Amino acid sequence: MATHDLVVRIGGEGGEGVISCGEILSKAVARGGLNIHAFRTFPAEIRGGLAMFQLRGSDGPARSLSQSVDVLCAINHNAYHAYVENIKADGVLLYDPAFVKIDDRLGGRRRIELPLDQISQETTGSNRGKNMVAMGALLAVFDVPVEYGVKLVGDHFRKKGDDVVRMNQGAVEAGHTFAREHLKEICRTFNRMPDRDQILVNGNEACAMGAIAAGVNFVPGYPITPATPIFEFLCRELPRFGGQAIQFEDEIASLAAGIGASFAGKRVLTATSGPGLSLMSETLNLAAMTECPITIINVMRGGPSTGLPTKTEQSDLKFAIYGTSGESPRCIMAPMDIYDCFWQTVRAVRIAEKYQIPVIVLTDQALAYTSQNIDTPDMTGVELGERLVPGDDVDPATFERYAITDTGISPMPIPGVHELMYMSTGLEHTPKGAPNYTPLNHELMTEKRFRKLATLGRRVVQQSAVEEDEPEGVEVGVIGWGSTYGAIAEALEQIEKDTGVRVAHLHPRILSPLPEWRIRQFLGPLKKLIVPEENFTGQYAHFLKGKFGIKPVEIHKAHGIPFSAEELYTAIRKEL
Amino acid sequence: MSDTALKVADYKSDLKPIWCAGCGDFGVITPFYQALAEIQAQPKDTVIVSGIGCSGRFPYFCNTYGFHGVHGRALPTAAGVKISSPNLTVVAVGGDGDGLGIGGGHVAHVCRKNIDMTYILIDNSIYGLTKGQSSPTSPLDMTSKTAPYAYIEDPLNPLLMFLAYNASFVARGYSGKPKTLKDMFVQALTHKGFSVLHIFSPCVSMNKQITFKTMNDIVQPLPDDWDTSNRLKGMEIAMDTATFYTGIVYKEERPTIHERLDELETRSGHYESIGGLFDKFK
Repeated sequence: MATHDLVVRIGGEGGEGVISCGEILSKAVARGGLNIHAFRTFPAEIRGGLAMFQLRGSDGPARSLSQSVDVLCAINHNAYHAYVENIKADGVLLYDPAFVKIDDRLGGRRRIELPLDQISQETTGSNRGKNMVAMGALLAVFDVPVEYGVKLVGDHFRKKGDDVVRMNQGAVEAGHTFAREHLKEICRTFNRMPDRDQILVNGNEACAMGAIAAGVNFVPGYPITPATPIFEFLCRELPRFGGQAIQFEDEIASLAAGIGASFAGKRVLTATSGPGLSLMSETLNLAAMTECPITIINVMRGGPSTGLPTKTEQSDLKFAIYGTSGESPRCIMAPMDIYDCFWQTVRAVRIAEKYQIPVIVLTDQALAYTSQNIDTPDMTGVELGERLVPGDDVDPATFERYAITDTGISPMPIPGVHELMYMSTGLEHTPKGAPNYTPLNHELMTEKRFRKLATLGRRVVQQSAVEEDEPEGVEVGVIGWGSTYGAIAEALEQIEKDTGVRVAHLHPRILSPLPEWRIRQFLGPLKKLIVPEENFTGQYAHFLKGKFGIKPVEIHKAHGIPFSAEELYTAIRKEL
Repeated sequence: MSDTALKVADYKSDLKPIWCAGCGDFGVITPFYQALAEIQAQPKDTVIVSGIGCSGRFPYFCNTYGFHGVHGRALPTAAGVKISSPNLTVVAVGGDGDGLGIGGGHVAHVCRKNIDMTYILIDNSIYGLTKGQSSPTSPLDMTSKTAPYAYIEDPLNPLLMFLAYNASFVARGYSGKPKTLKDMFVQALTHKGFSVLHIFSPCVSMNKQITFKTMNDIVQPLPDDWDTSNRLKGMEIAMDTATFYTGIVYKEERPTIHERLDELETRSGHYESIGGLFDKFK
């Protein structure tokens, strides 16, 4: 069955309601039974105060953002100027003739007038309904019944009173009517899948929801772009589940408080971004040394230093794995899409609790600000992971908090619960917790702590379809990580369609400890390995090189924006 | 254990303090044990969190839960313990380097939160464990290994600082007079809100300028009729550097972070299950 796919970009001045138009449109299109992939940028980060919202709707999987668009809806001239060349050759420009001056950069592309200002003036008496007129018109283009939009606009403006609601609903209807008359030729039809049980969330929201679903009950935090929305979400929602989200004075205090709460038996998660993770590195080692479970969602932004706070990059990987004084075990994970943001967060908390280690989940700004409609998570039967605690029959006189065990995991008493008082310390210590600097003890305890990581590495079961699918006779393979999943998958599909060549794809979600057996199995038949990453130096490629002695072809992009499927198509096809 | 009364000895761990002979810290920990016995703190419900330095070893010598963290972070770590687990008795302990140097930035914020826990700041005006470098409370002109010619910075005034940050219980003590400290600990531990004790504890090995002898000359208890509700008066005696007044300088009953959090819960409402949250995103 052929899939139908439509990519629409809306651009206008910040404050003209581009983002709210895009958000309501996304929801309506999702409710209308399409898979969506939506991305937004804010005026603060683009010269000239330009706001952009891009919505891809598809009746197939909408796995990645697209670089080029089918429809550009330019509310003002700046939007036209910035994006006209992103319109596909067979795409179309919708523009307000009162504001946009067409020049020869449009080339042979079609253009259709959409007099937003005029329609808004006629229906609402002002220009403030322009975004809603655009929304109504785009609903028609996406073949979504206007009622979906009208209802959502009602919900959106309810607090502002009936007049505002009626005015905006009128604008939506007027835009829709205009489109049915004048934009007929670009209105699409889709195989719609209505009545699915889905939620529409972005990566930050999915992580925050995952934290709640995982039973996290203590969240210390400090605001940092682009991770702040996770903390804000949890400040709002966690108290409703009986948990606490508390703001601290910096990331150091935040993680220290998290470790204190974890020591006291709470399930703890915090969210930060690169500079915050840097500040946390000493305290992170304390968590590893005292064996206090803790989960950190690190939403990567462009670096180094203050870098590009509102842009994306996959450049904190080496720091996440190795950024430590001395050697301490950590688990590093990377979700590959919005759905995965939810489930990998649940998994991260489970791993932290079971193995008593810090877990860092690497998402990025692209995931954080991408929305997708995903199946409503079903928590039935999901193992949340309980911490190993001492049994009732333990003798306090002989109890060892850091007992040497086969798995490396030792029972952890909880203050206020167990009458097994012990010292938890960042100093090297004996199994009982007493400071001890003798050579053999340090070796014994280092080995004990790393044994947990080895146990975890053995138990990692890769879950994604791409990881199971091992096509026969394949000579070239791609290993990716994190948010590049969709773009890689789509590029490889297109390569196979165009050339008949299948390229294997592995996308581990646990990056460290490496799922060694799985990667060896994947590498087995390959003559060439390609590792695309959104960084300058090829961080995961280096990690794989060091571990497996291979020489992958590295594809780097450090532009602050994600790979598109088109870019990867070209780069990977060149290597075939 | 909770059926019979706990004695002072029950709070001592098997580890013997490693402090130098004559160290002022012995004069802190002994009345601390006594205070724990007086309030009958249950060891399993008591957590002592420390930073790095000589005083950072404090919890090792107590038969309670203990957490020896990284340098300067005793306060936020203890805050995490107490905020998340309100039924525990939580004590943070550390020195002048730990609490006023590397960790000084946390003091203001822990005061603002008014967490119902106790902070024991053991001040010797020197980095003792690392063998004699200048600290935030080292006097101007005092020589040390990092100020071989003279210390060129003005010292912090911890008492004035805690009063300015509006800690809800502020006391000052001296480890040369351990008997007066027991009652101070009892009052701090039973105070509802954040209590801080600034205790001067001479370092007999590294600080040759401020000693038991020089301290004995300037230490004086607060007058019997001292008004503990007057913060401004407290600041006045804090600024009197000629006399080292000891006692409870200031205390105030105001809502703790837990009382405020409880109130928030009535505003946020509750979900029956996570389904209620998902519904908002459908």
